[in-house]
Amino acid sequence: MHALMDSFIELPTVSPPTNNGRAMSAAIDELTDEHLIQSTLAGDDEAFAELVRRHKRKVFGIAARFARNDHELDDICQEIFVKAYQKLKGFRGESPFEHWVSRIAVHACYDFLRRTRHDRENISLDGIEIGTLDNVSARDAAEILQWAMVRLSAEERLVIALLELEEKSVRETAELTGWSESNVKVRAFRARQALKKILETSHER
Amino acid sequence: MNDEKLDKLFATARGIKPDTERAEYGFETRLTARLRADRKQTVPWYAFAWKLIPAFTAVVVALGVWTFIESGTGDLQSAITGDHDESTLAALFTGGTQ
Repeated sequence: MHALMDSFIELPTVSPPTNNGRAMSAAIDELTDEHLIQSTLAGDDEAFAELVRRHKRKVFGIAARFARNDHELDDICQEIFVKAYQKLKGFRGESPFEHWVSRIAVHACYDFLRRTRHDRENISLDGIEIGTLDNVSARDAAEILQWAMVRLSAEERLVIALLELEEKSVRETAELTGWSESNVKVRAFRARQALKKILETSHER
Repeated sequence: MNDEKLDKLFATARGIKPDTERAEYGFETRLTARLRADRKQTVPWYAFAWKLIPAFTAVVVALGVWTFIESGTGDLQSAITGDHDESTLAALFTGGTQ
């Protein structure tokens, strides 16, 4: 905590000194991500825990598009933050920490999809009729899409999740994946074609 | 299936955001515990032995060259085949295998 305490010196006291726990928590809240990164690099695990606390919602949101259960989700997110911790020295601060960690998350999810692709093809639809797809509920639509998307390649699945489900722009998707914008467009087109074919085939059955 | 139908399916599916609250609970505690445990794990010295392969190879080659020069025959081929002939003959007389 020494590095974190050092950075407290520059901050105003927000709570009375009699309530040390709350004061410390308020002071941590006021620290910027840059402060927390510096403290983490100085060996302060609590500072890193605070960084994780701030950004875990975003990372879990990305990873949840690909994980099948809470256990898998926890595994992917741990892998993401462990990588972030190991690469923290390389963080230049050119973009916000959230963008930086999101890029790590997307790459980790891509690796995860490639690793587990063959385990995923036997996911069933649990009695949902694909039918005409006209009046399906949000839950059924999500399940139908999940069922169809496991049949796509890792690249196709990633691009569909980012563009269509997370509603990222082509540019944002390109930044997150490290692919060129034209590559994202080509992959998105192919992914949509493949997805339509999968849904058509299942409908005919 | 046309693009319009697919877009409609995406739009409907976006209505459900993945619920990650349960998985997020206590996550930072588990993560910091894992990081501490990873730090405590000491890597055995032999884990890096494969990195010494080029150095070992260089030593073996150097020893081979040195032995050859020291033997003074000046002919590497005969130095190798001479020993081979000897061991073949020995195996023949003693009835052993090479």
